[in-house]
Amino acid sequence: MSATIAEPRLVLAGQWTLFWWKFRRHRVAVAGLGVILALYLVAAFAEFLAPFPPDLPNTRYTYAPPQALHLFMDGAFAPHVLGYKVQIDPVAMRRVFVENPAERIPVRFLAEGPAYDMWGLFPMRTHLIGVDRPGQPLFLLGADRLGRDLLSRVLYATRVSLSIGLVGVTISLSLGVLLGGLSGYFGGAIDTIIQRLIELVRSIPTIPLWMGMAAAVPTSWPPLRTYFIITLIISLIGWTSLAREVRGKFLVLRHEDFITAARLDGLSDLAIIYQHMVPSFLSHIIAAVTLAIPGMILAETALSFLGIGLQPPIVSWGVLLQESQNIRAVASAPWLLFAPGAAVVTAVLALNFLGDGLRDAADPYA
Amino acid sequence: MPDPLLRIEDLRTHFFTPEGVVKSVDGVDLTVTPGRTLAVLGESGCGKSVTARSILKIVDRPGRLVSGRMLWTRPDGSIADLASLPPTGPAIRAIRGREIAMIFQEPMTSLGPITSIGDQISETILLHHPISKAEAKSRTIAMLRRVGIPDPEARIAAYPFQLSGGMRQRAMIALALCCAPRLLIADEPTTALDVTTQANILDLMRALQAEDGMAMLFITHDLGVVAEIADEVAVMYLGRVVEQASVDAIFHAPRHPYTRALLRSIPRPGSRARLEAIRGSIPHPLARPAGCAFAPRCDQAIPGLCDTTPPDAYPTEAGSVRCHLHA
Amino acid sequence: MTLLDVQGLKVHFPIQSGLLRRTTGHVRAVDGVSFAIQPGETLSLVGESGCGKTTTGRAILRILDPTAGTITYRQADNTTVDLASIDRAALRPYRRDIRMIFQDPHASLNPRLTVLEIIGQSLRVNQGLRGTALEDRVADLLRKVGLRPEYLRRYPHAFSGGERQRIGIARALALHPRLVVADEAVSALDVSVQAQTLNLLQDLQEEFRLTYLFIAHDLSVVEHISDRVAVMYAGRIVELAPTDALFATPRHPYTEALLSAVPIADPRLRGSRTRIRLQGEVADPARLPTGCAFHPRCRYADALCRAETPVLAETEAGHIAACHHASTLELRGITA
Repeated sequence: MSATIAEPRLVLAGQWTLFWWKFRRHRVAVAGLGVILALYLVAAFAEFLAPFPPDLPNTRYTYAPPQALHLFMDGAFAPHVLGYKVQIDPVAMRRVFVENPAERIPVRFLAEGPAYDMWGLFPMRTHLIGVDRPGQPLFLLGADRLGRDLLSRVLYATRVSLSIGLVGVTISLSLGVLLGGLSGYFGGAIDTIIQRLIELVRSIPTIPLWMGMAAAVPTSWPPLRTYFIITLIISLIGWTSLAREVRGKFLVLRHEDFITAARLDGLSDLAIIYQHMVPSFLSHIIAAVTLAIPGMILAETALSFLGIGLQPPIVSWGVLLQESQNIRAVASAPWLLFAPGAAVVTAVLALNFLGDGLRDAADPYA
Repeated sequence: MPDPLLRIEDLRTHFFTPEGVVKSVDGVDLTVTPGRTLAVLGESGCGKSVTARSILKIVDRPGRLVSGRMLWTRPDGSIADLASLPPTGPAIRAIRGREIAMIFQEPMTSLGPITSIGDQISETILLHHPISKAEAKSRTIAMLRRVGIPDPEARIAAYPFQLSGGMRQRAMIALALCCAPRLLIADEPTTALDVTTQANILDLMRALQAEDGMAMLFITHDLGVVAEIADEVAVMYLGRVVEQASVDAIFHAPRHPYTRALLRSIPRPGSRARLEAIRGSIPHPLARPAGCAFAPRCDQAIPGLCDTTPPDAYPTEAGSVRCHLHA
Repeated sequence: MTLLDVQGLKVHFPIQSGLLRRTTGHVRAVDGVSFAIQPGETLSLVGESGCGKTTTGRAILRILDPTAGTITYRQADNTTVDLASIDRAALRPYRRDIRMIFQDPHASLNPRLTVLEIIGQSLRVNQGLRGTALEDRVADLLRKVGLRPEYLRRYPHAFSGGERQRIGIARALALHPRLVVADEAVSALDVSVQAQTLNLLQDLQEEFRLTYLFIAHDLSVVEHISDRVAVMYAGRIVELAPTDALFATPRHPYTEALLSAVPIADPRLRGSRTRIRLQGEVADPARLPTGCAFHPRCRYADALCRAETPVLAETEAGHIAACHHASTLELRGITA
């Protein structure tokens, strides 16, 4: 007998290799993967990447607009920004910032700046970019009402918003796989009860539910505890779709010939689940999880935007958007809206593209 | 020999997959004569279905008709090259369904699930004929009766899922034949059916052909079905027609080693002798052997010739054969 | 010495409807099937879709639980056990002796496992084989079914349908079974590959003294491979006879119709055969007709057939048929 496919590369390829080959063909998804990896790197190294701590005020520069980054000075590479002169607009009776060409503020790489604890563990002073003297303005994305650097705040918010997605999905996934698996594997009365529960949870309008639960969180709680409670509230809805996904896969797989063959081979139920069923739907679960994260991020953003989610001093994209929701900000400091908004859109789109690609590649044998 | 109804010359339909170009149909020549049945016989992957779909220009992406001519004789005597017609243009749509109809292995692929079978047939009739709705309905009932659906006045309102497999196949045949096509392409129409139902459907198709005088292009892998229904047979292997001849010649004087081996490999009634199997398996379409595609499995292959040079089609008394042994 | 004796086997599936899933009826997929398999023979179950042949095979393997009946299996040490009534957990030793070959060579092999893992699974679980010992055994099995032992680490998608079916056969043989239930084992294969596989099954039967329960719908394949053939219709056996007798002198009108419908690969016989064309549809196992289930489609049916269910009775030695008129009808078979 001759092998039907001559390429040894293909005949020896396991499921993850095939998965990757198929995923690779999905260009947009690969780009999405790149963006997501970059975003999570940002989240991981926010302290180092941000020029300032998120809550460092600079009262001279409240509502300072974004500065342009000049890369060259007199033909040589010397990144710098221009300082601001403050003038009073006599008509509008407000402060305006005018670039001062005479004041060139060099932007240093790996500069010593305000002290911070990397991951709360290692005391450090080095920032990716920084200025020479404390108090010098460096507002690449502008400043907020307290003169805090928006770039630094968005970078720190990335950590909170993206980790809410991950933690929330982890909770959803555990609940979903457990309940979905029970439902699909045992069937019968257990299945019926769990399915009715899922329908009940899904029939509750989410915004009022979140609002009610979030409103019940005492404002006196420390920020970290609020953060986990909010995550938990968001994932209480998210698990249902994952549970359905898992149950569906169990139901389909139970009647596959190769599962029957495994049972005839003498494998126990548990061994069948671990050796045959879980590997068969793992890739589908990864895709479903990826598609669930943007929902979590949006939910956090929505709650915080309404002012009932995370509260300052925690910075998340939702908190930043909430701070920008006043007429003054929209009219005279639109960057406060654009920067966190762009971050949310980028992350959600990239996760959706990635999830679509994963879903297509999830069954490499199709 | 009467003028051919459809002449296919050097048809090539390739699929451009990320793994490589799959040459599903790679130089097929076929001739369909009016009122007769040409069976295209072959195993999976030989390109018989893709050939049929190429005629109606319904090849799915990433497949593409690469070259060749398909000369179709219109009812007015003019000749249209189907290969040159755009796949979604009005020219092919006027021919598709009206002049050339197709039925499939799975009736549900051509019968819509949410419209009753009567409405589907009436709509098709109205699409091609300027007649009243009432007249279309009476024609539909007559058509259902012709294909042997009992109680057609009542069944006209039935949905495809309410019918059994055999009845569904009859409904699909009624749909295909309602505009009296000159050619019916049948792609494995009885493969999914039980043997007694298959016999009934084959009887029906033969009877309808005798009444209407349409030609049939019958795609199948089943030698028994070929012997029952065909006038002419084209045997395909890996994208090419390896032998074309009358049905009697194919079964009683086969020329190509593949045709011969195929006939020897099926169980014969009354004989329980060991089967003479063809060794090896059909090559993967991406790993197509050089020379004659059947050479690696052929007992008579001539080293240095069959494994290097693709054979031409050589004429025989009853047709043609693509084999160096018959040069 | 009978290897497997099936008596009065029934498999009924409840029809449930409504919100409360109340049982409103039963699909009698298998409704009182009895037959015995002798060691070393090939017994075929034939019939059209829905006749219950696959369900019968699956009930013997206890993939499905029988509703009633006994399945008496004689072990190598001559003791017998009723597979229909023992607990699922106690089935394990018998599942080593009775193995299955599946119809679909794609669905029956887990695409995520290598050939070694697929074939070795039963050896690992039942004999605790690991490492090189397991590899050697699997390589040996691959050779037995005509595949190269180097294919050990390949995945199923690297094989053609015929080769996959060989892998499935190797899996069935791994534990030295005594009875193999082959459920449409060659139906999904191409003509040229089907012949190879049939030859392989016959060679293996000889080499390992296997007994086959061969479930199929293709009568020419059945005629080729079987010693005896049982014809099923609507959940029951209507006729059981040695292969030659069944094909030459059928005793049940359904068998006659079935044989007459088989297309024969010779165009010269086209006009010569008298054909029997069955009218109507196969009986619905949820609503069986009274009397003989075949009577609405039978051209010989009379009042007796409509009223009384016929039982299997012997017409000649070893030839049984469930027809009131089995001894009087002159039915046509296939003569070579």
